[in-house]
Amino acid sequence: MPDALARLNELETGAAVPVLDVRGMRKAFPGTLALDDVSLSVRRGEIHALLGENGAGKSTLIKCICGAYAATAGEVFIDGEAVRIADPHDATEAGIAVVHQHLNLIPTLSVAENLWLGESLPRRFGLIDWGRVHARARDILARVGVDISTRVHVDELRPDQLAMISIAKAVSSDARIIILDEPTTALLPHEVDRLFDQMRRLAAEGHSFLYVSHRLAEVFAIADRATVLRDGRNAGVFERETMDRARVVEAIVGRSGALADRRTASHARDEVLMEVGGLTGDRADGVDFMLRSGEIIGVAGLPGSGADETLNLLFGRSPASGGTIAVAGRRLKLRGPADAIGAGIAFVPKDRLAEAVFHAESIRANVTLPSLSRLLREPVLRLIHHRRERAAARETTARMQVRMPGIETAIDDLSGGNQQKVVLGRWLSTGARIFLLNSPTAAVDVGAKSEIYGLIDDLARSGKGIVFASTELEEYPVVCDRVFVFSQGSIVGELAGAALTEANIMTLAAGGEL
Amino acid sequence: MTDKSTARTGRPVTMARAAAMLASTALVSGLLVCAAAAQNPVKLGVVSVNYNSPSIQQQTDAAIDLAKEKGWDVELFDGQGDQVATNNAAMAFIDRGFDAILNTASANPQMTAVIDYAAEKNVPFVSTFSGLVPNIVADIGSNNTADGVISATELAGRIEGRGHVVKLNWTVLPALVERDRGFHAVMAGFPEIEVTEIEVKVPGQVDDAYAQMNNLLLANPDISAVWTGWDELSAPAARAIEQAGMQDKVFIASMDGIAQTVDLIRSGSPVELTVAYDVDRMGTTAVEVIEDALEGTLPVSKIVTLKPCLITEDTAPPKGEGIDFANCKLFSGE
Amino acid sequence: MSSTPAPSPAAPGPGFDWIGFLSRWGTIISLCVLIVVFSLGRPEVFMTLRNMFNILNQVSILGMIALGLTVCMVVGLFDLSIGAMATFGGYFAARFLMELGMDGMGAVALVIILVLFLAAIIGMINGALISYLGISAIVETLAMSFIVTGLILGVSGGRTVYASDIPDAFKIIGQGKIGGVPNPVLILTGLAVVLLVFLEHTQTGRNMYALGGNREAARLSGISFQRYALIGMAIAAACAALGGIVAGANLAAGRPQGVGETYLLNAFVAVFIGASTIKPGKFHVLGTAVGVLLIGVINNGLSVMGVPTFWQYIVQGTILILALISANVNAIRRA
Repeated sequence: MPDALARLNELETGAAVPVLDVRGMRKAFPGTLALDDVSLSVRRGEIHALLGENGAGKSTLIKCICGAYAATAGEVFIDGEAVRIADPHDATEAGIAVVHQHLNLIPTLSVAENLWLGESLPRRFGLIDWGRVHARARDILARVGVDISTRVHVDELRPDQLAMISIAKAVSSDARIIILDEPTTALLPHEVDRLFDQMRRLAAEGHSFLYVSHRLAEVFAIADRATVLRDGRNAGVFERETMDRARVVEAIVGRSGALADRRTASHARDEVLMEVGGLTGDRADGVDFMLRSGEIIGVAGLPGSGADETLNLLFGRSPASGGTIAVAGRRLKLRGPADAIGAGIAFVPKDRLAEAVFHAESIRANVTLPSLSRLLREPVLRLIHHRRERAAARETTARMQVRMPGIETAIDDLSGGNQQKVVLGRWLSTGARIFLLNSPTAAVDVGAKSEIYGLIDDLARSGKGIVFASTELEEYPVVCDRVFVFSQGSIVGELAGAALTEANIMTLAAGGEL
Repeated sequence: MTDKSTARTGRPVTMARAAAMLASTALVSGLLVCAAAAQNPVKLGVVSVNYNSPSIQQQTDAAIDLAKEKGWDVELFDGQGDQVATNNAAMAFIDRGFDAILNTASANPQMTAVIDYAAEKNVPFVSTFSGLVPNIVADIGSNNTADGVISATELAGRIEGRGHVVKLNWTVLPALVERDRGFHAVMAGFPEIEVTEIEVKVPGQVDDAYAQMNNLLLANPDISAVWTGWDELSAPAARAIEQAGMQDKVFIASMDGIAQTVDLIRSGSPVELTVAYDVDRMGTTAVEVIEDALEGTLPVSKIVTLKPCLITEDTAPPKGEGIDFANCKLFSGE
Repeated sequence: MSSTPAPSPAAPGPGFDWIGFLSRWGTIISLCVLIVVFSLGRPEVFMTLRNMFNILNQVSILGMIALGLTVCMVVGLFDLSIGAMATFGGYFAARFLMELGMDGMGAVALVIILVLFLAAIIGMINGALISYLGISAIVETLAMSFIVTGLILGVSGGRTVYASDIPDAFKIIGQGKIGGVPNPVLILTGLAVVLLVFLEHTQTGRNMYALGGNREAARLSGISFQRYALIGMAIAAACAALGGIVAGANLAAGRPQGVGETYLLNAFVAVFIGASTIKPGKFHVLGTAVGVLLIGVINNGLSVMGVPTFWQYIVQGTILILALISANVNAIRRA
C-alpha cells in the first residue's frame, strides 16, 4: 500500500525520473544514417506511442533499445541509471521487455510452459513438478488480471489472449518497460478493445509501455504521449492534450515528403478492362470499382484493412466468398492464380524474396517462366526453344532497363531494384493487360524507385490497367491516377486530383473524415 | 477443459481395473489349462524371426503341417526381422498358456530370457538351426562347422590343394560363423591355397555378391574357385563368372541346398556343389521332439543333428524331385 | 530505411575464390583423385575398358533409381518408397512373365510396360496424397513403402521367382550386350539423356525447378503444384521400378525382398552428392550421375585393391559428409 501511494505521489508531482530515457541515439548503416540524434523518454505508468512512416526509424530505434542492434552512439537510462546494452541479454537484465508483432510464444506448448520459457522448470524427485509450474503460471496471469487456463496450448488462444500472455511474461520478469511492436496487427477491433482495457489497468498500476503502431486511431485511443520520428530524426513529441490528428499526421508525413513529382497526366482511355462488384473474402468486404485501359488505380489502407487482400482476391490467390470480377466484359471464375493469368492478369507480390524470386536461378529463367508456353519448339514434349528464350529474356530485360552482367547471371547477384524489374518484366510477355502491383518498390533504392515509377507509367501509356498498393503512402500521389482508401474491409473514400495527398489517405485510412 | 481433465483422471482407474481383470483371467485360464491339459489339443506356438526367408519358411511349414496332422492347435508369429518382437511374441504364447514353443531359426542366444521363462513355466522350448543355449529341450539342426569342412574339403580336392580361392560370407550369423570356422580349418591344411576373404554387405547381399565377384574376377584372373557361405550368394556369383566368360575355369562350392542352387548344379553352371540340409525333416523332427517332451521323454542330446547331403551334378535329384537324404553321400569320394 | 546494399555481383576480387571453386568442383575433383589413386594402385586392372564397363554396369541400377529420385527432389519432394518400388518392379516383372509362361520380346516388352505403368500409378497416388492433402512427403512415401512391401510379400508368399521360370528374352535386358556395352549401361545412359532433356530443356522440367525453388512464387506464376507433384512422384516410382526390373533381369531372379533397401539409401547419397556438384544447391541429372559414379568407383576401386568391406562404408560416408559441407559452405556464403 505505501508503495502504491508513493507511486501515485510520483505521478502527481510529475517530477519523477523517466523509466526509459534514450538520448542522442545514432545508428549508421553502410551508406545510410538510420537514426540521427534521436531522443525518447517514457514516464512511469505511461503508455507512450512511437509513430512514423515505414522507414522513419521506429524499428531501428527499438532494435537498438532491446539490443538487437548495437547503436553507433547514444545513451539509454533506466530509472535514471545509465545502462550499457550490447546484446538482447543486457536489455533483459536492464528491465526492457519486447512483445513482438509475431509474438515470441511457442504454439505447441501450454500457456504455463510458455510462461516458464527460458527458465529451467522446477523438479521434484528428478521429475518436473507440474504442480509448481502451473501454480506460478497462474500467479503470473493473475498479476495481469487474465483468466486463461495455464494448461491450454497456446495455438488454441485468440490473438488478444496471445498478446496478453506475452505482456504477462514481460510483467512477470519485473520489466521496467514493455515495448509493444505493432501488437494489434492481427487483432479484430473488439480484441483490440480488450487488450487496451488491460493495458490501461496495468498502466494505472504503474507499468510503462512503449507502443509502436501504424494505426493512428488506436494511438489516439490509448496513448498518453506520442513521439514521432521522420527520416531517422525526432519530428515532435505530443502530450495527450495537444495530440491533434492534423498535427500528428503533419509531423509523420512532413512538409516535403514527396520523393518525386506528383502524377499529373493520366493515360486512361474509355475501354473498361476490369469491373469488380461486391468482392468479398479474406478481410475485404463488398469492394466495387472499375479499371480502365491505361489507368493506374491505387488501393490504400492500413495493414489488415482489405487493400492488400483485394489484390490477392483479384489474382485468385485467396478464394473470394462473394462478388464478381469481370475482365473485358467476361465474368471470371478464379480457382487459383493460373486462372487469373489465363485471363490476362499479372501480379507482383509484396515480399519479393519470399514470393517472387526463384533463388539460385538465372535472370533468364526468372524472367521467362510464366511465358515459356510461347517459347516452345512444339506443344507435345514442350521442348524449350533456347534461342528464342534467350532473345525474349534479352528483350524484356532491356525494356525493363535491368542492369546486369548478362542474362545468365543468378538473380541473387542483382540489387533489389534490378530484381524487381525482372519480376515485373516477367509479365510483359504473357499478354497480361491488368497488372496488380503490391509494393513494387519495397526495399529498393531511391534511383531504382523512380525508374520503376517510369516503367509503371510506360505500362499505362501502352494501355495496360494497373492496380497499385504500397506500404509507403507517399507513393500513391506519385504513381496513381486515383486511389481507393480502405478501412475495415471496405472502400471508405476515393481520392483523385488535388485531393490525392498522403495526409488525406492517412486520415481516411485511420478512420477519420476529410 | 473440464471434460478433458475428467477424462485424464478417469483413465488410470479403468487401466487399473483392466489390469486386475487381465490378471484374474490369466490366473483362471492357467488353472484351467493345468486341469484340462489331458483332454484338450496341444497348443503349439511357433516363432520365427524371419519367416520370409525361403528355407526357414520351408522348415516352419513342415513342422506346422505335421503338428496339425497330429491335431494340435498351432499359431505362428513372423517377426519380420525384429528379434525383440519375436521374443515378445514367444513370451505372450507362454503367458497365454501354450503347451510348447517352437523357434525356427531365430538365434537362441538372443532369446535366453524367453527360454529361461519357458523353463520356469515348464513349457518345452525346441528350436531349429538356432544354436545351443542352456534350458532348451533341443536344437534341431546340423553341425555347421562339420558341414563347412565338407564343402571346403570338396573344394580343395577339386583344385588339388593349389590356387586362388575367394570366400564370400557374412560372419555375423552364428551358423555362418561356424561354417566359416570349418572352411578355415580345412584351408589351414593347404598352404598353397591363397584365400581372398570377402565380407558381403547385408542387406543387399545378392547384388553385392554379384558386384564384388565381378571386381574380383577382373582384378585376379588367377581365381580358380569360390566358396559361398550360403546358397543365396551362389547364383549371383555364378552370374558374375559367366559374365566374365570364366565358367570353364572357376567353380563355386556352396552350402544349404535350396532349390535354386540345386537347379544350377544340375544344369552345369559354375555352381558345382552344395551341402544340402534336410530342411523338411528339421521341422518334423522338432515336432516329434516336442511331442516326446510333453510326454516326459527328453532327447539324449540337446543337439539333434540331421545328416546333410553333398549335392553335385551327379547326385542332384531330377527337377521337381526332392533330395533323398536317407541314401545320399557326405563326400564325393565315398 | 535499411535498403540493403546489393550484394556485389561476384566481384572478381583479389585472389582466387577457392571456396566457390571447391563447392562446385569438389566432388568431381575427388572422383578424379580416386580414379588416379586406384589406377596407380592397380594399373593393370582398374584403368581397363573392361573395368570401366564393369563399374558402369554395377552402378546402372543404382543410377536408374537415383535419377528418378532426382526428379521428385527437383519438385522438393522426398520419396522413401523407391526401395520398395524397386523390389516391386523386379518381382512383378518376373512373376507376370512366369504366370504368362511366354517367351519372346513382345511379351517381355508388354510386361515391362505394364509394370512401369503400375509403378507410375503408385507414384501418382503418392503425389496426390502429398499435394492435395498436404501430407508430409517423407511420412507418406514411407507409409506407401510399407504397403508395397506387404503387397509383394502377400502375393509372393515370400517365394523368389527363379531363373528357370524366367524367359531368356527378359534376362537379356540385364545380361546382354550391344556393341560390347552391357545393356544396363545402355538403359542407364538412355534414361539419363531423357531425364536431362526433360528437366533442363522442357517447360515441364522448368516448372518443376520453379516449384522446388520457391513454391509460392511458382504458384503465383500459375504453376500447379498438384500437377507436378503427380508427375514427379510418378517418374520417381517408375524409374525405381525400372531399376528393380533390370536388377531382376541381371540376376535372373524375381526377389520379393532385399532388392530395394540398399539402393534406397545409396540413391539419396548419390542425389545429395549431386546437389553439391557444379550447381550447388540444385538437384540435377549430371550431378546425380557424378554421385552415382563416385559410389561405384569407391566400391569397385577399394574392392579391386583388396580393401576390406568396412572401409567402403567409411570412405563413402566421409565423401558424403565432405560433399554436404562444401554445399553448405556455399549456401552460408549466399545467405
